[in-house]
Amino acid sequence: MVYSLPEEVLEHVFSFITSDKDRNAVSLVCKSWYEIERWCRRKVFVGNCYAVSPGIMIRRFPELRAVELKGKPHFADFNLVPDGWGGYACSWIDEMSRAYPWLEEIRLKRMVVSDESLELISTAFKNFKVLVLSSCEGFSTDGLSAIASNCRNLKELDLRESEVMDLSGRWLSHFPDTFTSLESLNISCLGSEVSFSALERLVARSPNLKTLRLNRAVPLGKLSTLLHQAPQLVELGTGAYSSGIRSDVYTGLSKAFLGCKELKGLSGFWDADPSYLPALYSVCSRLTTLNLSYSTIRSPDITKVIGQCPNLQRLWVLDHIEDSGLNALALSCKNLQELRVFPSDLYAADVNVTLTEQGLVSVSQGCPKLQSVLYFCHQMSNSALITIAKNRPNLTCFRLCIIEPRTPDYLTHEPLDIGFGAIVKHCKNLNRLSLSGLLTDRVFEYIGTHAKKLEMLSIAFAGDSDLGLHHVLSGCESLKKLEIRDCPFGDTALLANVAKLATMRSLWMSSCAVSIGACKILSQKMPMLNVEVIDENGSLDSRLDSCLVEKLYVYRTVAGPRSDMPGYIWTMDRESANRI
Amino acid sequence: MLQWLSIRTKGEENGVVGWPPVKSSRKTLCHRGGCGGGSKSTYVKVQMEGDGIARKINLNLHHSYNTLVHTLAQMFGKCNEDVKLTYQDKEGDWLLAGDVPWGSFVENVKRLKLVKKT
Repeated sequence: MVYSLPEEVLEHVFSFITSDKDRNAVSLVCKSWYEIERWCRRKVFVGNCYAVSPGIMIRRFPELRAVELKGKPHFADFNLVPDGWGGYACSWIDEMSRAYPWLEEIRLKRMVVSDESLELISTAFKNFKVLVLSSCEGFSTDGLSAIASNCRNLKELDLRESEVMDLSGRWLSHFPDTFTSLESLNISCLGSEVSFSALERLVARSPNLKTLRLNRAVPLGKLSTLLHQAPQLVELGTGAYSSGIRSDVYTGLSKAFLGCKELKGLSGFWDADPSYLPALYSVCSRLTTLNLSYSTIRSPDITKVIGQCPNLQRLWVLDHIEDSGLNALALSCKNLQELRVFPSDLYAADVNVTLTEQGLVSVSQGCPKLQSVLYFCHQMSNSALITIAKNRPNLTCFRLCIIEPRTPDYLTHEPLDIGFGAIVKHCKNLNRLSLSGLLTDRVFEYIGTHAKKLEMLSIAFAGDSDLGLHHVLSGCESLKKLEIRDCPFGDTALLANVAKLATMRSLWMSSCAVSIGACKILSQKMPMLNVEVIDENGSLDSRLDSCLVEKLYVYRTVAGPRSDMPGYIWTMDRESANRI
Repeated sequence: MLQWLSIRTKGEENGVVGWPPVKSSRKTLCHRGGCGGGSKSTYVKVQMEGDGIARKINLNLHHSYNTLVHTLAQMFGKCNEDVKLTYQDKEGDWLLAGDVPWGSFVENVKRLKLVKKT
């Protein structure tokens, strides 16, 4: 007996399926499900903007309301990707402006966005609601003026960590007086001062405002005014958190925080003056997120704050917290899920020895829900890593950065292979790992053997030979993104694992041992990959196939080679491979 | 048989580009007395005559007109002998780059344009 449900019923059922993975699975069941699903898909995530073209996306999904795109490779965050690489949002926004008049949400990460594109967004999409520009660049406050002036139904404007050409703070005043729908505003990356009265009026007429992240230029003395206008805030990013010795500012601030009964997350705290910290003690018991990583306050003051936050789930902090602060964290914050410890003084002559591996071991011991770690430090030992692994088999993200490359176990002077080996062996759900310290091919053998759920791996200054890379490519079944710098990995491992690259989103290799010839062969064997060589030393044609490439970026695509590359990037194609 | 060398490029104070892996917005915090909260990069738009796509460049990574013109020419696939660099200053005027000291240029430049030498 064969029968099928009417389309409308299936569509209704599909409307409850929101995760991208599940939607993709639904579309693979059969042709009619594929058809029904594609017409009712409302949001799409494109992890690499060059993996597909806007046209292909639009043809398949004609009724989208939300699009998320990512552009540059992750290592662009650390200046490894030269200017002009690409990641232009322009063609996407142009085509979407024609295809999706009802588009509501655009989220871009590491893309180049122009003012013209922002103006187009503000006029083409009548019901535009959410704009998130994460680590983007290429636009100025003029583009923001257009968004402010024209997007009548805007709910969210989030500029997190974007590089904005800051021409003036006047753009904020362009939100019309009739505009009252704002729910989330993040301007923390902007340098210019915005008109405070415009900001205050905007906050006052936004009853649904839940997230407000100010920039450093908003003085502490004015913060209480804003908080009184928005006691319903859930997430607050302060501006500069100091004001000289002003008891009236302190009292005002204290009173304002007392009124914020919904506040769960705090960030900002530039130039933080510890004497103003007690003003926020009244909200500490409810805090789940605390980002102190832009403040230089010392361990005793950090400890006092943390001691009042038993519900803390996420803490971002500088290494000023020291081992003593991390010990206190381990005692007070039993619900901690994510810890990020950033380095404070990278170029100091003497190293800050009071943050060591012990702090991380304490937290791994005391915080049973700890899942995600980012930790910068100067020393590590295999025994500490093994202890951490055994304490916290529930880790899903482990990023360790020992600041000096190739630093061995400080106790035994051995490589840190067995330490990281323990991490991948015990933490069976690890999906993201960043390695550092002295590492041989052995660590990659452990990773290939055990890290079966690993999706993203970052490697620097590690390994001895191609065997290391081969272990990773042949063993890590779930690998999506692999980024490698300054490792002796080369042609043999790459060419032995060509098929693997089509199962991954992307591979980045810089300052490794990959030759031009291998890139040509790879490209010839795998037509569904773009094999891009980045080399600022002049044309590749004049060089032998045995010459090494500076940087290599390989990614799978259905859109063919891209046409917007600057002069120092070459796509290896089958023609050049045939010209051997 | 190791033909590989770690490339140590100038551009970072400790000699290795992009290490440790800290975003630039955090790095400005790290310098003694410095604090983040606003970008310390100087990004300007740059266009090539005849090319519709505007790019962007961080002037803080350059210290002379030579390296700037060289990088820009490469970005647009041109030879630096074939192009001239012009810029728009804070007053809105378009000028030929190279006449004023580098420091003043960086303070006053609002956008750049590469034109072909005829």
